[in-house]
Amino acid sequence: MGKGKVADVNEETIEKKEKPKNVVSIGLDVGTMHLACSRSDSEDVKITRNVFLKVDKEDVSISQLSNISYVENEDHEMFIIGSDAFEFANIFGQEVSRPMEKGLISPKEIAAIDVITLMLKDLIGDTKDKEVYCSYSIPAEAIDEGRSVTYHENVFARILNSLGVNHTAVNEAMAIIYSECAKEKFSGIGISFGAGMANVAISYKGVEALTFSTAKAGDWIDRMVAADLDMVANRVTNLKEKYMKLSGESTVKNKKTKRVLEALFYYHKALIDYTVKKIIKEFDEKVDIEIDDEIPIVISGGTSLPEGFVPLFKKVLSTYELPFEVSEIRQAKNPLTAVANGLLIRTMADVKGMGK
Amino acid sequence: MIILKITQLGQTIEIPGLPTFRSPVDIDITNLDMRKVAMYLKASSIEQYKIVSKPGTGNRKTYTNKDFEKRYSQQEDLSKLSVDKRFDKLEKMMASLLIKKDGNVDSEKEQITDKLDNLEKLFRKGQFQLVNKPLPTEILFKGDEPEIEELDSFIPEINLSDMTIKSDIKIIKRDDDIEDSVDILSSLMKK
Repeated sequence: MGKGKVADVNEETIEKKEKPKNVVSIGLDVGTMHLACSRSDSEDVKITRNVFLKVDKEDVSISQLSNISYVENEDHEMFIIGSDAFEFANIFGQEVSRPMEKGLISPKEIAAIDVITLMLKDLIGDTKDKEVYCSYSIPAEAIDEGRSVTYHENVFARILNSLGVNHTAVNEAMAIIYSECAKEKFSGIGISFGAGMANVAISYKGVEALTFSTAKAGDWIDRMVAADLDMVANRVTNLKEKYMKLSGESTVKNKKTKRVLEALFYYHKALIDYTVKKIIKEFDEKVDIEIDDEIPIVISGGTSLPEGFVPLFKKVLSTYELPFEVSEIRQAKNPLTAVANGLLIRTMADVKGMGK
Repeated sequence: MIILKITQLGQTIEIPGLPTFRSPVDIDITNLDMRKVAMYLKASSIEQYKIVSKPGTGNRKTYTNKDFEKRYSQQEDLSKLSVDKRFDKLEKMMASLLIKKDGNVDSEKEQITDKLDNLEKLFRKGQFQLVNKPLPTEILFKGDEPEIEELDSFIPEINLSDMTIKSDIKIIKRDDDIEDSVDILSSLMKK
């Protein structure tokens, strides 16, 4: 399966074939804001921001270079990557470049595929002399956005091919169920409130009953707030990540920041309300199976990180009559790594099924 | 009632008229055209399945993918028959050309060459029809598969050899022991 297949049969080939390779399973979360990787041979989950900022090398001093993360290509173009890209963009009042937009590979960024490939290679780590199997996350088709996931899915398949990794695509919200619902035998509703999309999966005993996504998520909130208060969106993201508490507590004194937090609250509530309505509508229209048992709702994703998100979700949900019984609404143990962990569980189960 | 039972593991399957589902699964297809269902299963490389007819009482009829494969083997025989018939016809024509006494030899050679070319074309056509065989089982993980040349030509190459990275990776320790989850999921997928 892995790289290094040789067509001619000679002694060297036979020797190579006889050598058993270490099998490594990987869960790779390809998110709009974060890339995360979990491997079966390590207890570490590696995570990085999926953003970059193109800069002229002359604009960055040598002392700064030693402290920042960047990618440099043969044309000496320089791309600051990860959290540093955010910081530099905020200093210069620029927007960061995003390899992905609304959960899918961005149509705007020409350099995106090369930069993201290098970031993924770095994130996946050592694969030499190993038989590597990877499940990577893909969103479900969006019900409110025209773009298909086909191009996105194939681009990442090609990237993983180029890295010599055997791969299969798995729905992002199902990965949350694999990660968080083992005690319920993988029955539940997984919701990933990410940056580009909100992904929803309804699973019954590990079988997908319904998956869909909406293009309203964290970036939508930031864009709306930025438009309302005349700011650049990544400045809103920065304030949101530093100060946002949906529980209402705030120690912020600055009036403008308070305005931003107020607007952020309204849009978080609107996002939850929109997503809950869509879950009810899609369930009513598309789910044929009768789910008699109570099932949990598990909330994950970077947008669900602000304190008070789950209580706000419960409050909004309580205003609706649901077509299924809910046992519990809980947050994933780590909303930033749940998808990568779930994908790793799925890969390991698949590899186990293959007798590896 | 007609039930489709797919035992092949871990495949996401789309059949018009049904919600997208993942195997293994038992699903009611009473209202669907069975041949179309078989066609979509074939297109999804699903081979391990049964279609079970459950009348109110009495015996159960079970169809397997082999029942649907029959059609293809019959098609195969038909195309072989067609090629054989044409070959016989051509052989007769060649024989009649050769026994002509007063004919132009060059013209006869040319005609024989043309006929042989046609035979080769016919045979190739026959081979293409045979490709309608059931698709091979899809592997769960894709990787290192041969690329299609025409497709490759317009896809930009990913070349990282001249790129360098100074990375920004944060490490988060995994708290859970995931082995139990893997075991439960693996046993559910086997069912």
